[in-house]
Amino acid sequence: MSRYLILLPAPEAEWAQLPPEEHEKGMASHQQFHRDLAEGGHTLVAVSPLEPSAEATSMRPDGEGGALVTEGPFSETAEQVVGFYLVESGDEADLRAACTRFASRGEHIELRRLAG
Amino acid sequence: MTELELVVRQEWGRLVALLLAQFRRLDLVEDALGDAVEAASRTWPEDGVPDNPAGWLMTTARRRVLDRLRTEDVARRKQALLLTDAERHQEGARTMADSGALVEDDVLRLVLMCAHPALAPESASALSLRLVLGVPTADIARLFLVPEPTMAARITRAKKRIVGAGIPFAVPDASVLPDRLDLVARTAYLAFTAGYAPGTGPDLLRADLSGEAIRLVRVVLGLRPAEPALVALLALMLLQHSRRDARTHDGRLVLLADQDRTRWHHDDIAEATRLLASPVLAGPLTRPAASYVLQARIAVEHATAPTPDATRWDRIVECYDLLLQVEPSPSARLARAVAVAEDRGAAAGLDALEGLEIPDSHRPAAVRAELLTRAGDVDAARAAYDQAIAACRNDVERAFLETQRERL
Repeated sequence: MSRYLILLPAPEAEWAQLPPEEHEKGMASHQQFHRDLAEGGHTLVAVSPLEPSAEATSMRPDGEGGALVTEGPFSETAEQVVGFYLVESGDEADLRAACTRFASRGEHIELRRLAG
Repeated sequence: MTELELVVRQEWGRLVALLLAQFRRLDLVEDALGDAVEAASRTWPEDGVPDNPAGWLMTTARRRVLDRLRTEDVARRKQALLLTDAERHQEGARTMADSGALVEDDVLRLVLMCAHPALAPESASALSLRLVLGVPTADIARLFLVPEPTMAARITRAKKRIVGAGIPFAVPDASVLPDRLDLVARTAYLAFTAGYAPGTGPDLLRADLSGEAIRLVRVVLGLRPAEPALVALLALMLLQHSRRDARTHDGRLVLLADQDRTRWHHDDIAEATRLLASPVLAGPLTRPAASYVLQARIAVEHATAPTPDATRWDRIVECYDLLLQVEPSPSARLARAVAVAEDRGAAAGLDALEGLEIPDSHRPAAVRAELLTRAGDVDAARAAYDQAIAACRNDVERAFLETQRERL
């Protein structure tokens, strides 16, 4: 068994602009992914959308023994992580296939296995 | 400084703000106040300075505005008025700020009106100096290296735009106020850096006028003492300004390493160091505020190094690395490359310069030329100097580059 973090990067600004039917399509795609996970025997440990990256707080060492604390995401790129799934699975190949289908429905996905 | 000059210096912005709040006529208020100052310059020396000099100016200016309004024809009377927030008329000139402290909100309104995002940055800068501080138009023109009539026209246009575009004389709500104050900071910094953009002849640097931009930040900081962007910017400006007397010699620029460090203003450096230790800078900071903090930390490293050789370039490189994460820009990359060269040698500096271009700027080529010279690659250095000289549009800097090229 391994754990996998499925990160969902997306152009944040665009998502807010999309019409309601696109939002519904997105929701339906997530529900399909939930079904795919259940059918493949993958365990969903945690899943959640994230608040907008503008609400994030970033912290880094300031080189003087303190921290530089800034508003907003770590790097200000158009694509930000907008949500994640944490999944436990013994069948990585099937999980990858489910993620690929998820992506082909319009989602951006970054699949990462938890080390150790 | 005469009593009149002193009161104008200290009270100009407040008087403009009060007159605007009362009459909402941006086109009349400044002239009326100018007339009042002129009247004071004639009568005060003979009659003595009144007990309440600011009140005297206010009364006189108010009378001028009323005179003008009375003589205006009907068509002009319909002239668009400045938009104000309605609540100020109910609450009077002083209102409760969200911190619970009483602030001079009219001056803050004035500052926010001048540094409005709908104005071009240079216009906003000029207008702030004129309306908030009362800096003469001739001096503002000198600061921005344009003829006085050009600057006068620019200021008039900016005023018309404020009225025409409906830019309000108001404090926006708390959700956008931090962004607007970031813009106030940027506006002040633009005025500040303009004074250090090399001109020619006696106007090589206009550091005295850069000092006015510092005053602008102090005025706003007096109204919003806990605003991180303003605290950090004041520190940064003080550090850069502390070198003002050492930066030129006989009409030529003196590079940082060659400056006489005893001529730096150590009181400014001490104040900046205190500001940087302020708890409001513990964050979270907006990106512009964090960028000012990092630039100020870099400036502190220079300011506190007893000799050029003792400069902690390793720490400066670290600050630039952070700066590039927080607010990446080609000029920050260029400055980092210079620091890397000082810390790890010319070859490392040249590596850090790789692929860096700044449109319409001679600086990347000038730095590459200098580093190639240090690395002993004379032919490549000469080519880089040629490129820099061709791109340089400032006489003083071009002369400097030509001298460097001759020395190869």
